[in-house]
Amino acid sequence: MTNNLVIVEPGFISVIIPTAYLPTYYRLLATVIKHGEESIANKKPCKYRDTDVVDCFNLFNAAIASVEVNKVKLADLIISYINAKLDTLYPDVVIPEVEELTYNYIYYDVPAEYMFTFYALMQLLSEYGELMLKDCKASCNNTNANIIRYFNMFYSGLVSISNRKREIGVKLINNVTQSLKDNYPGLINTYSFIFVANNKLKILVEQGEEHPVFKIDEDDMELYSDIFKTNTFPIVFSLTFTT
Amino acid sequence: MVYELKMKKIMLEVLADKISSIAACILALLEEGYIPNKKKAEVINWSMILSNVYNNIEIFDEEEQTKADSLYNKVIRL
Repeated sequence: MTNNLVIVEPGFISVIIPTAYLPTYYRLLATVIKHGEESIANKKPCKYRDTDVVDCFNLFNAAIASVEVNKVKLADLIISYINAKLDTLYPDVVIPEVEELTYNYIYYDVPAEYMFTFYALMQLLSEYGELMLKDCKASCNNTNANIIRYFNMFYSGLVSISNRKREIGVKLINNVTQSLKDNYPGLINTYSFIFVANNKLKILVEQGEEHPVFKIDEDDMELYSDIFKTNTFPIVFSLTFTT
Repeated sequence: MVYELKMKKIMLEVLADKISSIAACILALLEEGYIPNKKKAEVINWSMILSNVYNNIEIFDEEEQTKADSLYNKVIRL
């Protein structure tokens, strides 16, 4: 893997919702519309919190995070859990009919320079989802509540950056990064790691001096160009060849 | 179901502004050593969720779109 590497310039990481999860996503949105107001008005005691639509949404984020860290089975389990919850708690919600769900939905984009913080957060969110499956009171725990808080702050930072308030966004994300470093030593990797995109292409990512450096194997170049043509590749970047 | 594109754009912009302004507030508090209260997290959470709703508003029928607008008014006042 470390032979014949080509360095690529980082751009954005697009977080996608897999096609199979889209019905659950749309169902969650319909539930929010139908029961959102009562959810805001009724503050439920902590032991019932996982029944809240907001918590179902947080769990959905945990499922997407699990996909990002290659724990697809866990993600499937979380989605099943959300569906079961929605069946029990909100059986009156009509699932919107969407023609031919054959696409992957882009959930949000993350500038590649924050990918180490992003992947650390995805790991934590995935663990949060696993804990919620084991014990529905997990969201009451302060440590777990903090994970959701970090994710919200990170997401707010992304929104601020794309909303012409870059300075605030960058500071906020840096703050999340520092908090993660303080509270979870060793979680944010400064060393190389490999992740698999679309179960096909292996990419090696290293923490560079200023930005992460993305490297792909030359043997996979055919795959890369093929995926790029079909426009389903989850990471947008440009290629810079080095000799 | 058709939803006026201009309205959708405005609503998404307002929600993004709301998230950014709360984010700025949280940042100012953190820099002074304070821990932001849960209310701010709640506002961000709801604004995030509503952004998702408005990004997909066309898939809902007219009644649901009206309900979404009503929820929007509630979240904006949080």
